Amino acid sequence: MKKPISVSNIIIFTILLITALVFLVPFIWTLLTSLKANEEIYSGTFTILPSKVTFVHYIKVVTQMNDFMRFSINTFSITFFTVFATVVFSAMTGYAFSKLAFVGKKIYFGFILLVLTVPYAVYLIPIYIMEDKLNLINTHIGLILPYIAINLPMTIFIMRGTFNNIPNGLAEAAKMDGCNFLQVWYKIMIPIAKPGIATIIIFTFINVWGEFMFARTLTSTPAAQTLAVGITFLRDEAASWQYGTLSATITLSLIPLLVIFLSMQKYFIRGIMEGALKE
Amino acid sequence: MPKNVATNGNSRNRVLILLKKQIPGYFFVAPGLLFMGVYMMYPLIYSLILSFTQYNFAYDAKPVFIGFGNYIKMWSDPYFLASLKNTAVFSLIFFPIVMVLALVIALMLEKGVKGSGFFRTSIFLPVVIPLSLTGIVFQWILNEQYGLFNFILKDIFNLGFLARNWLGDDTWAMISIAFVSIWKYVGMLVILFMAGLQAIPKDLYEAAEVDGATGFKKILYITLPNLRESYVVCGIWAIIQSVKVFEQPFIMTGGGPGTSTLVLYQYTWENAFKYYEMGYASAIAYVMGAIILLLSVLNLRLGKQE
Repeated sequence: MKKPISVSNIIIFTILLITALVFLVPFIWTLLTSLKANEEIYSGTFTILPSKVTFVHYIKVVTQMNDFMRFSINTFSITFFTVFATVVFSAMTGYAFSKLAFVGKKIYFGFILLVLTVPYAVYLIPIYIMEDKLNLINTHIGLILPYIAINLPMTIFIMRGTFNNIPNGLAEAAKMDGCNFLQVWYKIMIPIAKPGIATIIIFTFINVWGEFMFARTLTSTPAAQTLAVGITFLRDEAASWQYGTLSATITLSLIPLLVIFLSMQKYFIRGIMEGALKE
Repeated sequence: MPKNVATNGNSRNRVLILLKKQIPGYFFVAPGLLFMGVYMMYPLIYSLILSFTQYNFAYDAKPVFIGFGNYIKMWSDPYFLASLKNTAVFSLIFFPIVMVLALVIALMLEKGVKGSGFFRTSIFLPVVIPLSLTGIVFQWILNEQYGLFNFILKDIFNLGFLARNWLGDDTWAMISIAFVSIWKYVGMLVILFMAGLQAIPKDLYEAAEVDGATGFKKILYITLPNLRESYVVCGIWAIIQSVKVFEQPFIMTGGGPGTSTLVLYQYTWENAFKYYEMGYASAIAYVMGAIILLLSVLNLRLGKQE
């Protein structure tokens, strides 16, 4: 919508620009610090731009900090399997809640709404006891399983909304053509539901990539830890604050997240907006 | 499956057909329900039972039933009371500021000035950043000696006397944590408010324009009253974020200095995974859940009344 330039628009533009900068400063500062030499970081005088750009911190993180690489691999693998399973299960369950009739549907759906509001701490204690008995502490699967579960209520909700927008006639027509109930789902419904699936992929990815509490509780060795938790231990281990290395570590671990977010932002924001309007 | 078979067939056939009809539904919901059953429904019930027991996971062989013991004990536990108070303080700073700020930003973005897409993305960006990274970055930004915040105060605004050890100060630690949380979460509420703004019918504004209403008057008499649903949705979301605040203090201050930033969630977590008092921790977790439910219902009713 093009509007004529008015005084009020210029004021709004300026305020928004300053606000946006305030929100971006921590990112810019982290990036700039990661490119400064230690002498400059600890010189005591305040510089914004690095006087000389250096990649020593990045080289150190990639070549010397074995734990960082392990955390990254763990995070990638745990995120991948969780997102994959969550997408499959919520596309199935959301479809059933939207389009199929079965006994107990209302009760199950009520249960999903209930678990959405309960704080995770309530689940975490029994899950810890259970996983301790099953020897799942410090394993990837020990994180993937609860991650799938805690993401499902919201993603099922989103997928149900997506399928609600697809007319019933399509399924009927496919049945006439001889599709069985599975074929109706993956041949007709899933392709139309792609925007909803994109939403839950980015939603789950962001949730799992940065999840802290379950990871902090259910893992205790670097071999099993994720980036979000591992970085806090890297910070504690450094005898003194090593801001250069720290900021390089943070920058590196944010890259996958930023790539995913900026490329799929549209789906994420639309998912939130649609969810808000339906409630 | 033709329908007339069911009506014409005998009762055994009918049951069979009814059962057969359940197959697609259950086939699709079974895996999801299984996961949520094992990792949510069972824990939900189990921790409720645990909350009525004394159970030290490191020493006790079995939970011992003690009735409402845990629920009574917490009201004379100074750490629990401190964490309850601190969570309330956090909420009282966080909630009103984040709501008002989000609404104001959403109203400005809705104007559609040049660059709005970029501004919206910038403000939303912190929402997707892991809390632990947010915590570490801000711990460093708020550092007394090397922190960016004190640098800006001293070198750019010449307000050196305001500089302090933000996270090491009894009063300022919680305020700092609340502002970091506002930075982190306001973008989410901005999006929710924008959804509400877009849902307001355009003809309401046109009618007001005919009546000669402009700028602020339109916002005051049309926009704000018509956002009732957004207040409820945003309000509940912000209440949940307030009561369950955990990672920010846990990473930035560890609850200190003293107990000045010890919140309910961290106290629950410490009881469970530091002292292994699973029964007591479950009871506190349930109290926290009850607080969230109570405040959400209150919010919902206030939203409907107006």
